[in-house]
Amino acid sequence: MTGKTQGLSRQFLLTLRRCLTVYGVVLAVGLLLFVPLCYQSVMLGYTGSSAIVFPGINDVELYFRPILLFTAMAWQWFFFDSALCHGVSRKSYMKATAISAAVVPLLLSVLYLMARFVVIATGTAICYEKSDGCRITGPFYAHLSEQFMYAWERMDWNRAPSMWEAQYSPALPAGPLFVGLKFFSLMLSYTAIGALIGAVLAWLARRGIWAVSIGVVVLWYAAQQLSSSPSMLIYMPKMQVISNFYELGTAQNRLVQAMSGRVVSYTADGVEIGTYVVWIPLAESLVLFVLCMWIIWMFTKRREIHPARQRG
Amino acid sequence: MSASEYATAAADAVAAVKLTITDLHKRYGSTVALNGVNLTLRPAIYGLFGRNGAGKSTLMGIIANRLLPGGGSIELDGASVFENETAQSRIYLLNETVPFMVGVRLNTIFKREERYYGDFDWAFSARMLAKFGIMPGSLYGQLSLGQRMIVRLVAALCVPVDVLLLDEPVLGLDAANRELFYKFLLESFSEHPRIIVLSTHIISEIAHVVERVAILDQGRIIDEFGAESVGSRATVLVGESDRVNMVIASNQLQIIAREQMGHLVSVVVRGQVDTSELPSDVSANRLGLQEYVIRATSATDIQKGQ
Repeated sequence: MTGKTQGLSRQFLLTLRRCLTVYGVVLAVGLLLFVPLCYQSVMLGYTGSSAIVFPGINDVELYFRPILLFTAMAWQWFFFDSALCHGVSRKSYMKATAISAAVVPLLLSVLYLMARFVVIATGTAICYEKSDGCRITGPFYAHLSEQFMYAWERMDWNRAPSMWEAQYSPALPAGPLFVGLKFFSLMLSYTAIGALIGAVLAWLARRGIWAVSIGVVVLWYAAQQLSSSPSMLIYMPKMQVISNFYELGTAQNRLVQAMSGRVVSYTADGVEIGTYVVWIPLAESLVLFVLCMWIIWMFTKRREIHPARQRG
Repeated sequence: MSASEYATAAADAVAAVKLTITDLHKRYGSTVALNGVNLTLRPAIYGLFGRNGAGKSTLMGIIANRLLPGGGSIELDGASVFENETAQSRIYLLNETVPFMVGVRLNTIFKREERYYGDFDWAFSARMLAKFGIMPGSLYGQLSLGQRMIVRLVAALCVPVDVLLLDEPVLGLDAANRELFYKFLLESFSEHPRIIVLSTHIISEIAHVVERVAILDQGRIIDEFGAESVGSRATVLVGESDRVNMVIASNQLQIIAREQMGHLVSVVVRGQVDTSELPSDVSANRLGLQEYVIRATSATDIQKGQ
């Protein structure tokens, strides 16, 4: 029943270009707004606080998370009708979605790495210890990714929390590559999840405004929950305040390790050694990406455009 | 290849365009929208008529791949149109859905159509906009409802497609602009013969525009004929009930619709009736296109009401 289109069709190429343009415009605006923030952080400087979130320093991962989520969501939700009305097939739209959702994080990762390591190379970075890991500070940084500069760290958990002392290894020769891969895995997850949310909302939209409203509330609640408890473990892997998540051998502990890519082992004298294995989050994000794209395709191939009366 | 040979080849290619709809089905939940539609379209201006909810928009939406069929097939020159971008690049549907942002200029809209469908007829579009009194640099969102429809009609007539589907194309247009549109439609067709399907409820106005007519009722094509033959499609007999029934029985006429009005009855029968053989108290009149469509699609209701 389905007709085949050979090669790269004009409709596909136009859709891909349009999708990349949408991402490009949003990211360009995002970067334009990010530059003044970086300038501000340079002017403010580092405060010396040992707080997890340093005043005046911009977390790139956190900054780009909503941008990528909402752009991917908007593309999936709002641009489908226009594409299909111009003869674009559902398959081409899906292909353009998937390619853009992979290429944009890749380009963003390369851009981030280049900018970040230029900042480091030009000597504006200061490596300091005993705060939240050996973070390379500067006008911006990537909180989760830059942990992957280091192979492992040692932490004596037998001491009281106030006396925790960490011993950090020096940066790995391939550290920048690992940082880039971890950053890419995060960005890839954001675009995949954003596109999935967009597809779900578009599906709900066909069922009326109430379905969309309920969907938005549910998503908002889920996002709140995820950004409060479990994801705190990802952001602060050394904050062992929720015992089960950090208890060696428990399923929760393994989950934390799997989510963060920080594989923990303990020496006989109770010293925790955290090894950052970048392949774990990378593989997870790729699986997540494939899973999200498959679900989106299940929605997309059933998607229809019903005449919207009186839209003018 | 000489110019005349090229023109002949182009005409042959156009003549070869064939859109074949076979046993097409579509349901919306428990509602049957299309129930086995069979239709073959060749280059001509078609009028697709039917009552509200007959399935006209659904049929057009499926041809343009915007809706998914429940079953059946649609082939353009032997290739399925479903999810087929090569086929869809030759099909253009204009309906209520606005496929672009409203805050753009008209030229931007036309350029976009050109990117997707190829050579846009800029000269024709400029001439049409001038006749309709719309500035090419206007913002789409600042136009009136009727003008917005005109812009979309201009875009539809200027894209080089082989199948043009126009669902309620004169919605919001005043009488003068409707006449102007019909004129441009005929001009466009004479320049580029192709399959054009018009779906509208203002049947009397486009009776002189359409070449062929397809009537859709309750999800089925109930009749398809050349527009010029509408007079021979049906005859309405009016008279005393007994007398009319006698005529119908004696001539073995097939009843399309029947309406009782006191002692009188009005019966629409298929085909022509020789008036010389009718009793003096029974009158026979040929039906115009609009009357025929109304009678043909009201038949079920009228008969149910008996």
